Amino acid sequence: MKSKKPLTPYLFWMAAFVIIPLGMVAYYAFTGEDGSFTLENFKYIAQNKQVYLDSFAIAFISTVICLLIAYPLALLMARMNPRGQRMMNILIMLPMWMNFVLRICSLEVILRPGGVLDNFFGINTEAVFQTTAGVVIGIVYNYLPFMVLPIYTVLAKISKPILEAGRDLGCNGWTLLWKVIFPLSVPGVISGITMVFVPAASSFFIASRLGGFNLIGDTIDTYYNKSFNPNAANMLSFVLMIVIVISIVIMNHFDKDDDIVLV
Amino acid sequence: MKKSISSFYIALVFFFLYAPILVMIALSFNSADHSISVWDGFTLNNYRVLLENDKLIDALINSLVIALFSAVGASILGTVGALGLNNVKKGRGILMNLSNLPIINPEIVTGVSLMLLFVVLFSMKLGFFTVLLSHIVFNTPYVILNVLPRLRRMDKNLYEAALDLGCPPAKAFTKVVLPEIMPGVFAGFLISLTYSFDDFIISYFTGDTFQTLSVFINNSMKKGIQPWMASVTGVIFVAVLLILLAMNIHDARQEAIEKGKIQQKPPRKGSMWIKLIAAVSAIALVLGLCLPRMFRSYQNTIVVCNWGEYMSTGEDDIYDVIEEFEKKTGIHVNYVTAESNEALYAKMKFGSGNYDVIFPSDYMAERMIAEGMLAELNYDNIPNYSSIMEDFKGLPYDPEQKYTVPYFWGTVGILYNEKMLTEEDLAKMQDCKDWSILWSKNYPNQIMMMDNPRDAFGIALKQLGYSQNSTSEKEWKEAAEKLMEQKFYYAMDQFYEMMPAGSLAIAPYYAGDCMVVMEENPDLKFVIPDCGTNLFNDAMCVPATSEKKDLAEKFINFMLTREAGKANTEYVYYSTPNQAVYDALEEEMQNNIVAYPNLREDWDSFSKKCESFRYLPKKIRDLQTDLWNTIKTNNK
Repeated sequence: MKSKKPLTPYLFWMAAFVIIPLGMVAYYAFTGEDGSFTLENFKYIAQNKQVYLDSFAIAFISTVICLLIAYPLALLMARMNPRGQRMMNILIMLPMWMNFVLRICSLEVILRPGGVLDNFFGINTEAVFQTTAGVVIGIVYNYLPFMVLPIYTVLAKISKPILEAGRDLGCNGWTLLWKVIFPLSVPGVISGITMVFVPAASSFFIASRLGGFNLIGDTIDTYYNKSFNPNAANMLSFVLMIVIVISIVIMNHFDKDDDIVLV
Repeated sequence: MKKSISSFYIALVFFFLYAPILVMIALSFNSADHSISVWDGFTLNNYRVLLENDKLIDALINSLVIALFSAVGASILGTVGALGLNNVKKGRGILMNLSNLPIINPEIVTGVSLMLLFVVLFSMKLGFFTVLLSHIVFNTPYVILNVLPRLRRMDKNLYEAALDLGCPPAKAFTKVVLPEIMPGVFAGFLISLTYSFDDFIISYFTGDTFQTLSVFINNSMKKGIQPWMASVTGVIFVAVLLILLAMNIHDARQEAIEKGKIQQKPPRKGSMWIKLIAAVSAIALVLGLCLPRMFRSYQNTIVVCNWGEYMSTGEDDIYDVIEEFEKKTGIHVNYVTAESNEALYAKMKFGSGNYDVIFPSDYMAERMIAEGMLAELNYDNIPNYSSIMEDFKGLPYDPEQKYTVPYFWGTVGILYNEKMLTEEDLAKMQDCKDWSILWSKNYPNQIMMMDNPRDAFGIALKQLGYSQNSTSEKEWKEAAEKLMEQKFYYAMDQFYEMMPAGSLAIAPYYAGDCMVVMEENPDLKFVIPDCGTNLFNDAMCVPATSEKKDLAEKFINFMLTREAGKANTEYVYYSTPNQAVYDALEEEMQNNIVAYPNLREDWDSFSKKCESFRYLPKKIRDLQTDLWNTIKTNNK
């Protein structure tokens, strides 16, 4: 019999740094300024319904675009020789090391009027700066590597014999992709979607810099840092968290294996 | 054919990923002073500036130390957690979901919840340890997710067999289990390193005076995207590229050795020693960088929290007020910046900001006084206070003059680009009656509005003929409608680059900042509408929580000296309320009507039309936030 000891320290850690903090969020979400229990803060959800819808819509579009760009790339990567694969891995990871703030700033410098495209190439950027399209570009640019890497990881592990068996059974390229490769890559796709959708939906800074409007992350920040209202901020956070966690749990049901595949 | 299509596709994706980075690197060699997207000439100066910027280097080291330590911490904790989770049979799904919460949760929720935990529940001061703990929290699940699959694939009998053969559990673990899961731990370590270094939101909420690189850059953007930020991109790019390439070469070698293509060199004599010395010196280096950060002496240190770019801190080889103060008094200053009055208030209210000197604006100082957040000053310790002009003493925000010392004052006006306005509008601006030009439909996407609710509403209220301190809900709602009539470009720091570059035609902004950009582009003109504007006063105060009030007062007194005051006003361009400083200014500045509108002939009547912001009742503040959120959500 193995002992269950190793779990205890981790349980304590989770309790202290995962569960209790979320309890604090819930506490602030359901109390008023005087600290007494109230459901009144739900009014902030009603007031900000539009921001939630916008945030999820923009995150959804960005995630789909990321997936469409990333899947073929991951497929091509998985087919390369080991050296090529390693090189590609590096090239995908490198932009993740450029600071988040700097990445967004560099897009801003390129896209804004009088920026690089406008100034050096004479390209009018009105359609992609201070618009929803600009925000989508920012999110896709920022989170694309998070979609590529998990999908690639899964694809690279698909063993050659399986593919050969598929071919022997008469699959052509497309059916092989659709009937064999794609189903095997679902865990990677799900991880990728999670790793793009969640930060995109709650993104903060990107929309206000590139779009000139707020998404839910910016609104939460407004309630904290522009008008000190921790109850409203926590209520918005609480609902955002519930919605996201529920959607992730539902999505994970499509995946038989309960591992989330990462880089 | 097919091959070329796929190569083209790969190239396209990488172009998308790398073009922005390469553009930034290219611009890092641009000698243009302010607007970095206008090419001026080649220079390496932006890299020299990096080396000289101690604060930046400090922030960079902070980021690296946090990344390294949190990755190590997460690797250990994550391995322990994965071992534990692997043993669980019942309820594993739920435990896994709980364990993954920090990565499934929106970052902003994680940041906020941890901040609440540290500050409210643990009464910890935000700093090195809180950031480190937070990073371990969000990195650990990544390690678990990488280690767990390997544990699962491992043959359980191996470990049992080792035990049966008399191997003690600890040894069985290190000899049997660890080698199996090591690649997973290492992958988790790398991911942790990457995410930690990249993190902005969580560090932003849990760091306070301890600033990582992202937070530092964000706080340095008061005057827009600076050329040195481009060179930071360059430095990180090259450094990371080298590290990744070295790893790649190492991996390739390892693989070749495994395949038996090349022979592993037998370890040379003494190589053990070299490795040991290298390891020891690496540890010494890390500790050397780290320990001072963990146990910074706070004995003789004061924390000064100012707005970004609001003090002469010596970036342009000028009088560095902080350095001079430290030299003169031996008191160490930890200089940090806050984004806005409201952000400063939030930090102080939660007890997370441990400041000794702050610079709130009039209405915020008034609020802080009302809420007992400021300490009463002992003006005997601030003898230089006597040089403050009488007009600036006993103002409505501190009528008894007990808590504040004036720092700067100024107005908000309209800055416009002569070359971009129509004849008709230009004529109107010569005799500018009101703020209506901001609602002109002649300049789509070229009219900026201050991205700050109090200022934006102030302008709209004034335009409607109401008081900027209106307490009527109806008037505020009308002001919100007014703001929504126009698709503004809501911005603050972008003003600094886009106005001189001619990318924006019209922008309301603070007079001092307008003067800075007017020097860069002579087409820019400043005007204050006749219907009046906001007259603001920023003050130096000591929070009630400060334990070093006497040192803080010394600092305030130093800021009032002729040298420091002159350096500050010449660097920031804001107007000084200090007679001694004013007298020391160059004549041209003394007579500058933009900086000193009190020189206007009609000042007596005009100043009556201007207002200073006052502390508003809660009902109106809440309404302001709701309306602001609505405006910002719909500004598409």
